[in-house]
Amino acid sequence: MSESEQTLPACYGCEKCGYRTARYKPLCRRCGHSRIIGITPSSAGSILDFIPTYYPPENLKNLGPYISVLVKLDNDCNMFGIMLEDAKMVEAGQNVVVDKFDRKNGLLVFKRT
Amino acid sequence: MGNRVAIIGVAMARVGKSSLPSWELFADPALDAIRDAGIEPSQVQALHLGNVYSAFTESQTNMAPLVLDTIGIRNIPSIRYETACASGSVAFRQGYLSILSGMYDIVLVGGTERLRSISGTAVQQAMATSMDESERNAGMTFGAYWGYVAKAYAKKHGIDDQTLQNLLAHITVKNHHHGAANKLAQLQKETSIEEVLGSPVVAPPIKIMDCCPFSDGAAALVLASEKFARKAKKPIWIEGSGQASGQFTVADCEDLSHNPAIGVAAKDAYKQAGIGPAQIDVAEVHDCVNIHEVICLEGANLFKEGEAIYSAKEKATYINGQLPVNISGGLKSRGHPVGATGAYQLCEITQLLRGEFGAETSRRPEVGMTINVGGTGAVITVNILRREE
Repeated sequence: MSESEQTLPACYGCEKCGYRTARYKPLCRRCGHSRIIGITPSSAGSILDFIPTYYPPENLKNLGPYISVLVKLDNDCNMFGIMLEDAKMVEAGQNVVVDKFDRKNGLLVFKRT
Repeated sequence: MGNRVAIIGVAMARVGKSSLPSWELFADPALDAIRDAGIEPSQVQALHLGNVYSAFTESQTNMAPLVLDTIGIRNIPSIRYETACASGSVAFRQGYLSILSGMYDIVLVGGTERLRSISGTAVQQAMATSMDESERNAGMTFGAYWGYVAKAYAKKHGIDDQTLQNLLAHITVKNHHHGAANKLAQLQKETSIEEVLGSPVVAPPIKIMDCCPFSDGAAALVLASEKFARKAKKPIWIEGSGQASGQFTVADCEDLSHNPAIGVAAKDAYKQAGIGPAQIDVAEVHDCVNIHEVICLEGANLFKEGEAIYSAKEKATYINGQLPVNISGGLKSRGHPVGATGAYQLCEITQLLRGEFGAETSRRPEVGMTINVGGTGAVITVNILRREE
């Protein structure tokens, strides 16, 4: 794995059915197969849905209100993150890229392309 | 499974804010339930207790023996269950199974929780531990989760945002209407569509008045084998008890508008009871946020998919509707003492079937259902109770 790839969250795929997930599970949740492998992380994707969050949890309070966003990455993994943009500018289907990934705290920040 | 099991005693503490720690809070309902059962404390053979957050909110673990010691009962087995908001009903179910197995004849079950002694922020932090750690760290909150669920439901059923918010508000108004008559409820007051729609937005389309409060509370039930239950004044029989685990990682859910695990648990409970959804006369379901009342009702096939959202507006789920739902006021009005909520639902249905709840339906119900859900739809219990003529 290259250094740039290590700055992105890990993703996994089922060798049998091709199911993709950002959450490692020893058994594929779609077909039950046990050969789950790491796949190339992706830094880009599109917004499946989003929810402006006006009451941030304690660990994200310093960010103020943010947009919770569910993104389908280009490697077919679904992943939650946040966007720090005007909610009026955000739409489902928009293309986004990873702006920051705080590996220690697991926070993934996307921005529109 | 040759044995039958009944609820022979119930009692609940007033929901709201308590000055007592959760282990003391449970003591009065426990002794009242034992009295209600017409037995002596020495006859209780085991305790199954639901409790979720005491380690966070009261710096106290090892809750089950502490509760038992506080009541003054000694030497019997005790165990605490933590399955987020479903803990109370999971404790109930484990007590039920322990009698069904033939191991015990009389057990005490229930739940206790104290959340209002600490700040709302600290409660939120504690509650967030019941969801996927990676998704929580990535900014997911319970408010946002229910926002995603509501949007997915509206999209699937072609409901525009304004209509969705209005229909959800009707559910809140209905549950407050019911809760206003419940003397043990935390929020004993009516509300209006305007008040709900005018309340602050948490995570659109979810507003504060769409959500239940955090609560202190404790509820207890005495369960007994048929041999002992036949001697009780008004046994309420546990006819079916299903449990299922739903998808934990929200990002991987194919369809957030529907929780298949509710259907699995309900199907199991219906099968055990030998009945179908049409035989359910009354239900207490998990309306932590009003959209979840809809998801529960449709998941258990009490309404067809896409129809439960209209149930409160059409008065179908009001106390004298075709299927009264959350006569207690539900989590929204009765309150949500997390580890005890499932136990409250079971106590309330028991009292309704006995004709002792206070607010009564026009037709006295014979069969009642509870649906209690933990986390982001991850733990589901469905119980079916019946009274005998």
